[in-house]
Amino acid sequence: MAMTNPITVENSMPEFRSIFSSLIDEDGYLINQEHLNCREITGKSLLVLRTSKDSKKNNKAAKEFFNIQLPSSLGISTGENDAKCFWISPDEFWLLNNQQDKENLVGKIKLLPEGLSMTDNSAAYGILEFTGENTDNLLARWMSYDLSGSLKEGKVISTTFGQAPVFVYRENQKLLMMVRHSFSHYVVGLFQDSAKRI
Amino acid sequence: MFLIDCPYCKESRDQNEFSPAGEAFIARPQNPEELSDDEWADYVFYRTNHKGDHWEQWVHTNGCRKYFLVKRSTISHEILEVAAFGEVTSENKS
Amino acid sequence: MRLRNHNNDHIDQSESLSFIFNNRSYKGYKGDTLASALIANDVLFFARSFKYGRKRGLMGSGVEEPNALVSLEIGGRYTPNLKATEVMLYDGLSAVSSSNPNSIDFRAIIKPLHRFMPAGFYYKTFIKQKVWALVEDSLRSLSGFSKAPTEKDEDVYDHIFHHAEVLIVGGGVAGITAALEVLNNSKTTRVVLVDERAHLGGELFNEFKSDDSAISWHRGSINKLLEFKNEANSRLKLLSRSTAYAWYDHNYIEVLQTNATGESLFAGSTQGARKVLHKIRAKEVILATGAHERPMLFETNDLANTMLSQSVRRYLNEFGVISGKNVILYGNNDSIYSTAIDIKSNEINCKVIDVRASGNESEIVLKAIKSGIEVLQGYAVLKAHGTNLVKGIEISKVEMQGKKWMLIGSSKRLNCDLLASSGGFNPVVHLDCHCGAKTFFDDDSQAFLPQKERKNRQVCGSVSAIGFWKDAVIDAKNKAQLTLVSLGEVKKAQQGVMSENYLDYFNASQFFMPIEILNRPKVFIDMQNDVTTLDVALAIREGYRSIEHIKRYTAMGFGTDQGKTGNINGIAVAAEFLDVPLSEVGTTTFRPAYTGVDFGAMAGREVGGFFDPQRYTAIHDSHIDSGAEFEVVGQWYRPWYYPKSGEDMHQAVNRECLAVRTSLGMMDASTLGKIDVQGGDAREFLSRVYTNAWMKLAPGSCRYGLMCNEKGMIIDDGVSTCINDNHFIMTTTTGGAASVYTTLEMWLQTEWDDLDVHLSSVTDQFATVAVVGPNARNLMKVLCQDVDFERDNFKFMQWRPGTVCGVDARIMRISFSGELAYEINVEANYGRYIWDEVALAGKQWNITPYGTESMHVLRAEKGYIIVGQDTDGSMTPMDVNMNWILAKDKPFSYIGRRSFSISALNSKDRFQLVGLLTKDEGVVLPEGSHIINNNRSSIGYITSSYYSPILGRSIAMAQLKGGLSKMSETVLVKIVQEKQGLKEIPCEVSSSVFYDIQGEKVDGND
Repeated sequence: MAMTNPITVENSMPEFRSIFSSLIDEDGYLINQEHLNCREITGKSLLVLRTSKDSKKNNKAAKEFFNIQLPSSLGISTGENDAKCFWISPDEFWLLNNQQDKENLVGKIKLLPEGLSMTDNSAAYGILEFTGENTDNLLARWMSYDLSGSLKEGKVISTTFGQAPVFVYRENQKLLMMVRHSFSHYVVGLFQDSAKRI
Repeated sequence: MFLIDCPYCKESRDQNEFSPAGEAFIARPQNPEELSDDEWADYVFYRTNHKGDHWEQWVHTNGCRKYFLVKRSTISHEILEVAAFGEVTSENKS
Repeated sequence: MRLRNHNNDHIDQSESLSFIFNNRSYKGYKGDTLASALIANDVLFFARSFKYGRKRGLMGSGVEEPNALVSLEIGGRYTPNLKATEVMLYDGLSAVSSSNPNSIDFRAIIKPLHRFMPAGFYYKTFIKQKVWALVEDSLRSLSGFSKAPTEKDEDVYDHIFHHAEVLIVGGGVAGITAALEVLNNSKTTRVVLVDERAHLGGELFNEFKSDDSAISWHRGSINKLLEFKNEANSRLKLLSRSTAYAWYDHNYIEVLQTNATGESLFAGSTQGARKVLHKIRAKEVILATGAHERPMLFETNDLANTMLSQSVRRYLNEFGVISGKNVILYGNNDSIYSTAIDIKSNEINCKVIDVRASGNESEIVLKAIKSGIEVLQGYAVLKAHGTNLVKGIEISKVEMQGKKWMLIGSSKRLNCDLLASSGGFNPVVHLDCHCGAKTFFDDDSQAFLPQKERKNRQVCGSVSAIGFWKDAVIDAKNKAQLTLVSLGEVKKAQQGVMSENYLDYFNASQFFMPIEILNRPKVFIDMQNDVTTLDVALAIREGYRSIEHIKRYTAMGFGTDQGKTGNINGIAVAAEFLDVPLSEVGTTTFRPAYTGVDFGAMAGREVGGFFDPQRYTAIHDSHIDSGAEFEVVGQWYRPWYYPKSGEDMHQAVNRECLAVRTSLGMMDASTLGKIDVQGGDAREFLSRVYTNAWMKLAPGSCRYGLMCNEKGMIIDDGVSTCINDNHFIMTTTTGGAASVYTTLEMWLQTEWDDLDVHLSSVTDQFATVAVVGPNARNLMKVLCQDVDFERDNFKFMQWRPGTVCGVDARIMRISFSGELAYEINVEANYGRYIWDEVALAGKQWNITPYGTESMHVLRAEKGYIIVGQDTDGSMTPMDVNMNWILAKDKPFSYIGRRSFSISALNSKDRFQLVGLLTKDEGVVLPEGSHIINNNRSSIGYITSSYYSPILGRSIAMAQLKGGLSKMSETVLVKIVQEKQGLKEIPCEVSSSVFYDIQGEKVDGND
């Protein structure tokens, strides 16, 4: 659903609010302390691709329509213009692109062969970026996953943060976390509280 | 909190990422209307409640969200075997 | 008393601390425990025992302490039932005995009657329920320990997950050695070392006085550990004041770390965590948990100042305090000589009484005699004398004849003011057994040892009866090497050889359990619960011969010390009375937790607002701005009602409902579950999971669906929308979203994987603003210019794509109120913008935001069910009068259909959903009230009940037995009214559709 030219009652521009917009401070941070920073990443689109039982067909479609290679278990593959493809399950892949590339991708939905389908989930997830040497330490308060031991770059995992489902991966020494819109306040509340005692 | 090796993620994860999903190898009858009330009740309500090695279904709720099979000892909780759904059937199970 | 010139690292004599105990002021030092500080101040009585209220003193120095229970602080800092031996002293500490030894105690007054109150007394005496009911409260108030807290815990507790290749439990000689060995022989192995004390070193501190090599070994090892710890990206985590209290499957171990016992941790504006619960998953575990001393048994062995010998030694060597001037050491192993030597070196008088045969001239014995200590070998203590406090002992010669101990000759008396005994050592095996591992009784060490082989676990040091510290070092290195092999770090394990004397103190004589002593009165095994040897004999006489039964019959091991000093003795006593070997009696089952864990620590930060996720819609902030009150639905915070100033809920709801029915209302419906269904078999899939038909629903249309489980019971409902033949959007109830999604996936993955269907949750993707009321169409025309809203062009239960206020939207004509209504679905990022624009544009029709309460009233007026409120998992579609939604000729036996035909689901007597109209229109029946028959038995209950502003009277829905055939009958509903009490309200059974019965309002006025 792209934004069209606004013709509204009050002639105002539709206001797009990012998922964490009501929680970030005036500098755009959620945590801003020594050895630990957290900010929101905006301007991305997230499309959920479901695949068929025919892996040849899947790989062909991925290459043809999205110019990307489907990764294997827990893997991440990359494409042009910062495009990323995450393995979520044997038949589910997430395509993370820049916002401006979304319309083009959404247009491909009707071209997908039988057995494949795609849904726009851009509004459903927010993306947080953690930097600083205390990152793993902070997340270890709420995640039972062995981040420092098992989360290498190029790997994406789906797990829990407290009671919230989250998706986590690393990129360029940063840690990225995708959080469902409705769990945003909860997740932020938890890690802001823990950060006070790190 | 024990560990389960998810056969799809191919990784060991904590129990809290999973949900139990009942006894394995119970197939939904193809023609329910042909069953007597007793036979239907058997499918809907009755389970073996086995003491010992138990084949059961689990789902990776906070992970890949896929269902799979686990052979677990109901006495010691030891997990003896894990398989992708359909990989083990009531015929070829150990 | 405190020794002068006591120098060590643990007590900082430059820092004096003030504290209060039982309302008296004292001073101590940094590094003291409450127990050591009280010894320094000559306090001898600490508390009273549980059952008989006997005055008790300190027995031990650590977690094994059974007597010295205290309550710490007050109010939000109050902690009950702490052992004084575990409380680190801090300035301003305030504590009281959990059971005051200094005040008059009823239990102690009836002392002469105690012999008539052995184990089982309460049960046998008060077995009649009525008698017990009479005395229970008074008995409970007499016995027991600290009171429960009454105020909220004001402290913060954190949880932290850890992952390590090796977890080492115990930071004594063995643990430290194992840690260094693993670190020195690996590159990336992560090691966590956990120890319950403030300083690493365990029992080694006791050796410092006599063995200089111990001091230098300790210093060197600690330095090496700190080097590893202080590296960048360190592989070593050191957790002190941390007790590993539970071991669960797959080497998951929980550890409780104490940062502060009772002192405040506010530092600036950040509240520190009082305790941290560490949750550690380790590949390999090395147990180096040491051993606890057990006492000798004799008559009145519970007099104050009767202590454990190693504890007396620890107080002396570590804390520089001792509670007597004329000490007797009594036991069956060499450790009592070491203790005596250390005491004598401080110029305090002491004697040693050794039950073992005379003629023992080992090195330690000779050293003791040489330092002027009187030694009596081949003697046993029969009884301790004194009133409350030990004054002396009665001893007699003893001799082993065959396999039994015999008392010989007449007894004689000796004086003492401190009696310290050692009956041997119990390896601390508890943790190892939490997951079902067994112990075995080893004759050489006279101890229950951890089972020899166990996957991914090693034991070393005195927990496996390696008593001599230098051999413990070798043992720990060996076991660490085995661990390294298991990790693949090392190919072949290097194994050193221990000396011949590795058992050291474990090389004790047999348990000293002569029948003549065991048959005496007041030979206490379990100090806290006053369990004596005669209680064990009684249990056995009455047929309770298994150790698990003996434990439960006598209450042995039930206390807060969990039998750490008593249980093994109890097993030996039982073995003696049963005349079987100890190995045959066995131990009771060890279960988590090893020591007490604060509830606060278990909760961690998941308290208050963090207890459950608080989930908000994208529109949430607008609701706050509008002054909404919120209701929790599942995890969602939904606007409940929007009170204007001065309004209560009732008034707000009335205003909201009337606004919706007469003009225009708006509601946030974003929380409903939304599932995207795509694929060639989408229709077939919907047909299988819903009761009604889906094959012909045209693109652009919507349909209400009812979902049942295999038992035929309603589990969910919602409207599904056809986008095109291969694409539907299902909605579910708010609370049911997650479980419905899981259930649908279960069908697809485990039964119907041949169907070409994919499901995706899109609940968070869309925000939904519902515009409801006769003026809804007017408003939509203002908001959206590219959709034709004329009633015949955009019919009820259809949807259109359009642009609302410049944002792409799906607009559905769905109504949960019966009024003309449109649901605007947009990407959640625009949710709040759309809500605010709708509110602005709707002003001319006095648009009124309404919440869940009004929503409930409006749908009830129309007789629409809410799954989970009017149904409870036991209602079928027939029960709620919805036979119309059951498709007759679907080829597939959809979920639930087969169950509809079983006899139980067709009984006329089933609870059926009906409406109820109170005869007195103003009475609103409380939900949950019961409908009663002539016998005053329940025949149903109220599921939904409201005051209906549009009707000007109350309405209710209820489950009523056979209700559908009782139309127009009068029934009674039992309610409790404030002030009037119980009342029976007459009601007429009616249709559950109370308003707009013809359904005319849904198209609006034009």
